[in-house]
Amino acid sequence: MMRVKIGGIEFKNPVIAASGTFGYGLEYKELVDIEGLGGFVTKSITLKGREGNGYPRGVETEGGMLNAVGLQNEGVEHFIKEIWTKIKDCETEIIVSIAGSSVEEYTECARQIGEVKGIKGIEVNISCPNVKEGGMQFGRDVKMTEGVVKAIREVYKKTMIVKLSPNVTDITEIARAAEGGGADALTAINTVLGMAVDIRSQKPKLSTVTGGLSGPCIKPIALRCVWEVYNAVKIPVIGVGGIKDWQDVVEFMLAGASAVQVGMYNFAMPTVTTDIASDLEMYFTQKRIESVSELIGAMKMF
Amino acid sequence: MEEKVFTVLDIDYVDKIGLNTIILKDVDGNLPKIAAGQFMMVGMRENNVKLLLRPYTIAEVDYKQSTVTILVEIRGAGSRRLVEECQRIMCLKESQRYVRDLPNTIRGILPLGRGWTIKDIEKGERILIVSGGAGRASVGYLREELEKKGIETYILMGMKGITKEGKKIKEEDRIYITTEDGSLGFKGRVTDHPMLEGKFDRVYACGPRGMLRALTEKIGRRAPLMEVSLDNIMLCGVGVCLCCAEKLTDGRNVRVCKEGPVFNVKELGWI
Repeated sequence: MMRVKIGGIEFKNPVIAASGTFGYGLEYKELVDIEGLGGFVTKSITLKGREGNGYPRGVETEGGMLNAVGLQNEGVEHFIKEIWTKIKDCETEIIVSIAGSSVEEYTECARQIGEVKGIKGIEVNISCPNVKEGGMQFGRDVKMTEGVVKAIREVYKKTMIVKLSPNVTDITEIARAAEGGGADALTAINTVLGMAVDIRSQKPKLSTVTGGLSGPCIKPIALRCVWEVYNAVKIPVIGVGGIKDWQDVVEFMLAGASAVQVGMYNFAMPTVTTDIASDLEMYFTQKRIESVSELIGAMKMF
Repeated sequence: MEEKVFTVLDIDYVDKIGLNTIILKDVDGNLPKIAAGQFMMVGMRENNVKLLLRPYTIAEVDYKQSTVTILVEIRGAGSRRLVEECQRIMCLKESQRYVRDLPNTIRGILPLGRGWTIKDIEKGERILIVSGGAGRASVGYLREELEKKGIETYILMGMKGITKEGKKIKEEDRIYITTEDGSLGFKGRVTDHPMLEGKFDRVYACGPRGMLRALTEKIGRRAPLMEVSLDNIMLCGVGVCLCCAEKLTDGRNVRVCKEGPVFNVKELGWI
């Protein structure tokens, strides 16, 4: 009933933990029954390790939070050797998020991930707003999006999901470029650019001045993007941005999402993803919904 | 670490030093083992203003009663809401009128982080515990754990000042206080206190960064071991978001919530 297929991956339910908010699945092991999740996306991995930005990197804002972590991770080799071996037997789908500052970095990272048996898919992060080079630069430009996606497609044959940035003039043209480049699915959206200022010290609250806004405060923006992207492409859309309960999930599905990701709310309530999955199942049973596809894009136009 | 449900056993909200003492009772009655210096993330059942849980040092533990005590300084909307919510739960309990459908519990994830290094202390070592402001939350449980091992401690607590209601805090044997306004104990900053001229084998400190830095200059470099507890802004508290990162002298960014909050001052570049 709750099963949903995206590319070559079949998720047991459509609730996935979003990149950067679930670590590598190990951190929440003691608090969350991971097998109750549809899946999770790892924190973004880059070819070489990165130390990330300086402190302060995060601050809570009204109904959400700003972060500027800057892709801190220990690199793809470390991931494959040290982390993947610890998580590969999780009873849930694991998608590996990759990021980079050049096309070569993306493709080399994807190629190495592609060689690991058991990793079924990647999410290409071309929308990180917190790095000086690469990241969102790719996701803001039609040609660069198509270029990087196409290059990865050539070296990576398994499921490739591309994560889009909302910080663009027209998200549909980027979505079409990613689809044209060979993406199997799209995730919308990454964080929204924002900032906060401490009026006492008169300094910005993030070391990078601006950062990525997430949480319930961005839900309407995310929903709009999902709806626009859904209408622009033929591949599945994974909706993410401010989801905190099953009602939000239904809303995203009606707008066109085939599955959803939960981000910031993992921090507020670690069990939120599994809670949503069981609530959603109850809703499906009560409403006699037999398949997720009955809801996808089923929004009625007056 | 585990997520638990707490009811509010007591809230002392007239501690005019600015700290609200909140005693939380574990509903299940089986607190996990908590080490001195560890912290917990505390949150409300429902909260639409600020959504995230907040980190608080576990200031006291009572395994028999299954209670933990936190000291909450109101710094913004989140901590204010938490104190208000605890007051509301207490009032309901006192009037014995639970309102149905309203959540009457507090959520907590504990124990978190790495606490003070105290295992290898030998009898006869001279131990100094220093706090500044809300860092006072770190003093009580650490002292208790050390005294259990038969180790004497010297305590130095600095605060802005106290008023009549703050009388519960007083100077005793081996407990020294500084206030900036001179309302209790030594007038001045904690780092100005003459007892810092003494010799100590270990120094444990918790307070604002400026204080920790000054203290390290004053005494930390002489002491064989000095540890400090940091209060970097945390969003998740369990090592996932990487927002509380602290840069160590070896260049690595580590998570204060996981690899800390207690660090040896030698690991910290800024000290």
